[in-house]
Amino acid sequence: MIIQYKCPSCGADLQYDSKSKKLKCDSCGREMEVDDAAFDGTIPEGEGGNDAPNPDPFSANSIPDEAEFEEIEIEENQRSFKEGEGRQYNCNNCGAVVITTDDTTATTCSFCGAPVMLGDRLTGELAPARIIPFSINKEQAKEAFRKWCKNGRLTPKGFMTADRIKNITGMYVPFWLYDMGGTGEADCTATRVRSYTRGDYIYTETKYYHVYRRVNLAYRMVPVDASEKMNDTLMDLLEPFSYKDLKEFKMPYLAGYLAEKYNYNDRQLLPRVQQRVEGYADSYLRSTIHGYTTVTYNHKNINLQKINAYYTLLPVWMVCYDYRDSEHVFAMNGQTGKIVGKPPLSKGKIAAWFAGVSAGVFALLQVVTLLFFR
Amino acid sequence: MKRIYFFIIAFFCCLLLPLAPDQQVFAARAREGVYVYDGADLFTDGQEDELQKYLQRMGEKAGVGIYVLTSDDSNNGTSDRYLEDFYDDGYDRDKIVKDAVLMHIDMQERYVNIQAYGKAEGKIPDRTADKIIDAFYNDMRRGDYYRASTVFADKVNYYMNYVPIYLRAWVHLLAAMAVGAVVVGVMVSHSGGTVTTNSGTYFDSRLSGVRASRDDYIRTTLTKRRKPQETSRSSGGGGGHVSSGGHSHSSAGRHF
Repeated sequence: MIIQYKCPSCGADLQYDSKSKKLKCDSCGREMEVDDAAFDGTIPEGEGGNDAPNPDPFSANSIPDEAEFEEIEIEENQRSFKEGEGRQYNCNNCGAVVITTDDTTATTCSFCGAPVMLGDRLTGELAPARIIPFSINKEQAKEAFRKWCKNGRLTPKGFMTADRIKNITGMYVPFWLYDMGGTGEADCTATRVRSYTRGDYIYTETKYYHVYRRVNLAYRMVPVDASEKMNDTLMDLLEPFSYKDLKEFKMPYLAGYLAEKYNYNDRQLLPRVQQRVEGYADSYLRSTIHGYTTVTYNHKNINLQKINAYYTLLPVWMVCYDYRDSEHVFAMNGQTGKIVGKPPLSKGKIAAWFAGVSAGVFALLQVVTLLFFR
Repeated sequence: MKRIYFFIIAFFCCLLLPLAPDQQVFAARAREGVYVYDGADLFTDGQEDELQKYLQRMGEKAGVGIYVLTSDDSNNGTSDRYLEDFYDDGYDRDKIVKDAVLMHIDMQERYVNIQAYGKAEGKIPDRTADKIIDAFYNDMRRGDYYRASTVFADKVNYYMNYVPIYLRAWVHLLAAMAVGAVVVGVMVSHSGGTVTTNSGTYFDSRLSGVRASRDDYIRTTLTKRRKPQETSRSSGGGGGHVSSGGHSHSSAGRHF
């Protein structure tokens, strides 16, 4: 089931505009609230203004392509997809086959460029609960990336010009946001050490304490990347996302961007989030014990459980960059603009920094020696 | 690329820094002088000549004047006073150099005394002067005053040219390179982005909190150890002695 949003005025395709936070028509400039456009089970109006050849269902001499188009229309109404070859979607505008992978939920028609959403992959069990829409548009993302390249102190000079952005893709990456709750318990032996001098002797007094803590633990919306394709470490580095922009999921937000569905469900990813939150809980538990010189754990128990998990789409700009025949992939937080990814490193610059810092420190040591020890 | 060359040149310039002119000007400044005053006639004539040459040579190396004085008594004063007066008088009459290490052997009291003036005061504080006495003390007791005097000169030379390990150029170089490596290492590891979340990022402080907390005192243990001996560290400041002529110096003396 293909979903596209059409401009009520001119019939062109609408795209989500991160500046106005509305759907925008590039042709006539009309803007539309996301809520108004949200898909309610029927194809939005505007088909009359469609540029694509309007198939005439009654024409006997219909082109075969158009016949297919009609078939898909029927499937849309049935809200299911049963054909043997499976994943084939056709663009409502031009009728071309929309190229998708098994995971794609939103993309653009490679033929006419119209934003398309694959409705059946965004409903039911696969319906995202929430979304943070893009705050940074393509131009801003490119600009930020260029700036970042220029500030790279160790990146080669050629890289800094950053005019070789191969492609930049706005993508909604599937995440699970976990609410975790539970308790932590620690039983420790702690000491307070005090030293004082009396007469010819130095006395060391060690007071031993039995310390017990029980804490309630709650962590809200810890994100875990649910896409197989995305590098986990890269996605972790993109955090934090600000949840003030978190919205209830609506399909129009995806218009003009790529989106994928999750490959792992919330139960499969639970161990990962548990491990991470246990680390947090550990340091919180330790922070409740203070005022001691040493703390030794006799017994520690952290018990955390999933309270909720929200299937959430988070905005990421993926930047592919060609440098000396190898491709470097960077990711930018589509909300905050934070950039992560391994840039190429210049050996010359590393050597220069090393020599510079070493020489500076060496000169400083020598000057101090000359001034104070000679 | 220009910047790289700049750094590399700066780096090698710094390597040359320790070679800057420092104390080698002594030779030019050194006055032709007498270094041995053998009032108690402890040395043969031959030994006196040898010692004079030896003290001069060592003194040039050390950058200070090294003097050996012997006497049958201390002019009814202490050996300390005797040396101080000798220095004040010699300094005023240009007989001895400003930076000087003097050894006095008082045969009446069988007492050996060392004082260091000027630049030498900082390099040879009381404690170091005492160590120099240690080095030739056995020779002194045996009556081998010539040998004791040469050992004295050797030790003065050694301590004057001694550079503590933390002031040596190669140690500085290693330390600087270690700092450089750490800085560059951090830069490399940060080049791909850093973790900007911590245990507080997703923490819900409204629902979290301490539910039960106990801090029970169990017992106290007490250990004691003897205070380490007071070490009179006066390096750099010398000994804090001042001669009647107003010259500050360090000193150490011992009966033999």
